[in-house]
Amino acid sequence: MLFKLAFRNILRNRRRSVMSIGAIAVGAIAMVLFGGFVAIIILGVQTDTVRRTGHLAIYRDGFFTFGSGNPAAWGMQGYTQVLDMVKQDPVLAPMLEVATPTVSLFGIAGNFAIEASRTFMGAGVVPQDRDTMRRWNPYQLTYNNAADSGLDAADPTKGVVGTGLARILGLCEALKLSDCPPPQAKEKLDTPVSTDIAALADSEKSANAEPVDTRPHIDLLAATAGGAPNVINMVVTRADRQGVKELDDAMVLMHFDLAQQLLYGRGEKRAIAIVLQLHSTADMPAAKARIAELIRTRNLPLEVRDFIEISPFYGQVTGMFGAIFTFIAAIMGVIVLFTVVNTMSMSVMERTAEIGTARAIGLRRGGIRRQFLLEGWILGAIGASAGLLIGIGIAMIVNRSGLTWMPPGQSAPSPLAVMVDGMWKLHAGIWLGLMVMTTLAALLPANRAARLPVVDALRHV
Amino acid sequence: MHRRTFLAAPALLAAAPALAQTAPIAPQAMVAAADAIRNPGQPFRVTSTLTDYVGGRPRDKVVLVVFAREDKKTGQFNNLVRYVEPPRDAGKLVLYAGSTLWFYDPASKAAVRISPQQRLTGQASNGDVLTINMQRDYKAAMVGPEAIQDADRQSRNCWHLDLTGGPDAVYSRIEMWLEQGTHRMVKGKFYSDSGRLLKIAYYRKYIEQLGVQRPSETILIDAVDSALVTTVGSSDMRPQEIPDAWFQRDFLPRLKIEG
Repeated sequence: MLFKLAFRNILRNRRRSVMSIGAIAVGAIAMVLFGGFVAIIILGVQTDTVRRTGHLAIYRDGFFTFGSGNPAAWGMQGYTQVLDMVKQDPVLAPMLEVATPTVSLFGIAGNFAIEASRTFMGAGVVPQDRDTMRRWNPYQLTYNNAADSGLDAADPTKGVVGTGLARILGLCEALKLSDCPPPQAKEKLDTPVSTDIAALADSEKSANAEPVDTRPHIDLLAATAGGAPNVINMVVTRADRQGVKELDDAMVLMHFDLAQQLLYGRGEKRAIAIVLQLHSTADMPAAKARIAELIRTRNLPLEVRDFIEISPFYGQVTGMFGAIFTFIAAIMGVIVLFTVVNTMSMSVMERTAEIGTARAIGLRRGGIRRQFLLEGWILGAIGASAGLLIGIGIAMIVNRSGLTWMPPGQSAPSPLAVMVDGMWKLHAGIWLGLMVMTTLAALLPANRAARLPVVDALRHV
Repeated sequence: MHRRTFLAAPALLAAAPALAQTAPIAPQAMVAAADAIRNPGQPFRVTSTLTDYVGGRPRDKVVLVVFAREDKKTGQFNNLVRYVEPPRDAGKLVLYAGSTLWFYDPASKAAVRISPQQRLTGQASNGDVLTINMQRDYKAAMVGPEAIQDADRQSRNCWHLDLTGGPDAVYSRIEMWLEQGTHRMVKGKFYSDSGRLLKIAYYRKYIEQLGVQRPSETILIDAVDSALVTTVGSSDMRPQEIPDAWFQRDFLPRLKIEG
């Protein structure tokens, strides 16, 4: 009976009710779309980060804090035993996707044929493991399905560089890069040639000439752990865009064996880190605790870090989008609040005489309050439900429309997508949130209506 | 001429009878003799003139005064280098003690450590060649007699030696050509751990310095960046007493060198 009355009251001023329902629905649509979009971005960034750095990394104790300036000195002795320990542990083994050693190093990359050189940041990885890591995709994201790493397990001399580094070292043409101007001509010295020096250098050049390699290649210079200069030749198979210019201009990805040879020379070969990738991010705290326990019980000089520590970017993206979503939700809530307060107040004003009559024939204050609250709830429920359905509908259209955009920290455009599946928690939250807001908004006019003096209300024109 | 090194020869000769037919003394003793020619046994100072050539054209010229003294315990030479020219660098100091390199700028009064990563190229990388101690860090093996052309395109009969670096050595391998009879260094090739040729050195213009015929010019050819050549001329070599304090980093700001 109460419900029927409330519903009829809503239908009494149709245009006004539609406006309120519309405002609530728009709020719901905005939150469904933006929430789904943020969810996709965060999962995308997570997938990207985990593909690159894995979930967990084991370092020599102190490397993470102090070691990146001199990686060679922070090498992990007996890293193969650590690798075996992790792979054979009964707790860790079922969670593990990949456990692989890596080497990080820096030095000078040069293409001395054109007198170009630049400092580089290098990473040495095991190609097969790297390729497995790059296929990690538990969220079934359709975009950025990465190609292979560009390394060759059988040929350690092959490597990949950032496009910026390729440009600086004049490899644009050889690697067929687009949007990549050739290096600028060097300033020529105009001092006279010292003939005996030039002749000597030329004779040595021809005597020591290595067989001509037609593939694009660069020289990598680095200091070994012992402080001795070391140089190797790397064949560049590809240049990959890195997203961040600093990285793009300096990145060298090479075979693990080549990096070890460059960093350790004739000394003992070590690894800088052991990177673990798990089947599921949900296992990460358990796996981290288990590794920490292994390190503690065996008294190893090691430490374990997760990707949120290794890659602060992930935390920044999550935090930023979380803040934006909260802000949008708050604004939507306030708009809904004002709209419903307005609608209900108008309704109370129009129906003052009617309220007086109802009170005069015996309806108590609670009855009046319930009546208006119920009207608010019905407005909220219709608006929120319609908004959710329309929002999900728009999301599905957007997902099929083939729009693309450039996510933060990415190097290639990704399809614009809004997450719908598995978002029932967010959707339920939006619906309940809007209901709370409409209830709050209805409460104020409902209370005022309930407290009207009966005689004044009856006389109201 | 350098009797001191020859005195050790008979003992080493006995240890290497197989080579005795071809070489007068064992390879290790030859290397020791060559080291003695390059580096006087006593503390000394020398003026070095470094000239950079790019594609055969001179580019930069730097004049340095080097104070060197052998550390009796380690057998390593400690070097203190003071810039004289160009004027903008005059007074700057470089301390090369043990295997660490310190750079001191009197303007900022700060000593900065130069890490191995920061001396992969340029003048600093040449210091590794110039201060090398072959006798101590490397194991020499005889390849055989060989006639090679020296820096002045003169043919010289040399012993070709192959040196393998020990754990403390900068280079994993050195090929060295010493003139037969005098054990003067004529040419050296320096290899990295990966087996790549890093530097080629020619030693020439032997003149009498501190009582011995020593090379007054070293030509260093960068084998990685093959357009780059540096010549290092040495002159005005004379004995100088050098106090221990000079090789302490903390002492650099208080160092007063006259002359």
